[in-house]
Amino acid sequence: MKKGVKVSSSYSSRLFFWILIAAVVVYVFQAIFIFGTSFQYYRHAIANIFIVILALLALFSTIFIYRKISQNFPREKEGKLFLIISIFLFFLGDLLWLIAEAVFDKVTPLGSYPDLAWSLAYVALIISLVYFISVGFRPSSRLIYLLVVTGLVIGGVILFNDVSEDIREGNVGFSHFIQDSYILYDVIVLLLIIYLVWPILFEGSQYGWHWVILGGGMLTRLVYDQIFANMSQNNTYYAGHPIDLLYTFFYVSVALAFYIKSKDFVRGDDD
Amino acid sequence: MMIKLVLSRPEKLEKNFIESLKKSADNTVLVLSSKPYDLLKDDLVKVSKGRHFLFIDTIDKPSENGVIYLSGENLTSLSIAINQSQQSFTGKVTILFDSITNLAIRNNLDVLVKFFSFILYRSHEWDVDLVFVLPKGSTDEKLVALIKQSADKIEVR
Repeated sequence: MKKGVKVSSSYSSRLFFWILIAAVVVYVFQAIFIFGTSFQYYRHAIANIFIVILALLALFSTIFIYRKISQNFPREKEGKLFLIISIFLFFLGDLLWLIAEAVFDKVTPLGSYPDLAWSLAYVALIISLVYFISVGFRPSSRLIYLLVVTGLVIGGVILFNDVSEDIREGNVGFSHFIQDSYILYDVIVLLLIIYLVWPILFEGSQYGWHWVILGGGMLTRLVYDQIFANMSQNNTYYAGHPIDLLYTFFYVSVALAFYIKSKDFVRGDDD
Repeated sequence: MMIKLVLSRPEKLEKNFIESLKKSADNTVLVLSSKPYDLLKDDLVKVSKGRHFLFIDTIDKPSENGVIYLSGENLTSLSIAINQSQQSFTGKVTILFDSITNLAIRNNLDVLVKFFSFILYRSHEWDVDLVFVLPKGSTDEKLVALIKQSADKIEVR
């Protein structure tokens, strides 16, 4: 600032910066592996290892940012706690998927423990989004409940249609139901993201942008879910498919979002 | 934490705002709703030495980087900026409103009452001092009554 009006300095936390760099490097290597190699030996294992590493980096980033939020901001802190739980469950699902494919040689093990972890991860993600929304003033608090109910109704109708179609086609089973059920979480998450980021998106303020990036990353995960569900039903998905990059982009966005958030903290309060 | 209401004569609003700023904590978030930052800048320099101020201007886009401009209509964004900007500070924080003039022009009164109820309630969580400098007579009574109810200290200047 000029003329001595001292505005609190922002800074780039090195810790978050290096987590982001690590995430980008792993992501680039994942892209090179997917597009640049026809390597078939251990393809399942290598493709999944990239995903697990990125999930772990996103988890670290979320844990560190949680630790930096003061107790004076309980809603944001609790939101981040549920985000930690969510990303941990995503990581757990990815790890179980890796073990199933690489160790037990089960190709695309749908409807098993990884899906259980991912389903719970979405529940935690929804709770964290509700907490993040409650950080800011909302003229009508009823709207949040309306959005969740709307999501449940829209998602429920699509789920009902998908399940009915599966039954008609003879695709009856837990794995099909699990695949279909992601639409329910996706619709709720989508509506909550829009509600969360909309007021921030059209203002020039530097604050709250980490939620926009986080929301953008979540959207790519939702897109992935729908493409994956379609591909797995047609048996066209394989480990190391290019759509994996949509999946892992969410983890990179977490690292980027919390690097940006880390700039909100003043120098001297760092690690 | 403390909530303070300064009811000022309209012609002394700026002077009372600067006085309040002098008495505020070294870390202060200022929400400008009466005069834009660019007009107040020279006065602010005098009281800012060795202190950390963060400005949220709701009137006009400031010419300097580091001052946040938010249109007074988007109260959600404003509340997020107030919330998040405090995290830049370590130690005691004051949130100072130089008036609510522009916010009152741009928003429905009922929504504004809800907004300030939200800010008053959250100030307990944030553990900050909250100071309102309002012009006597020209601000809606409903809003003043709300702040009066919550205020620990009321000064008439």
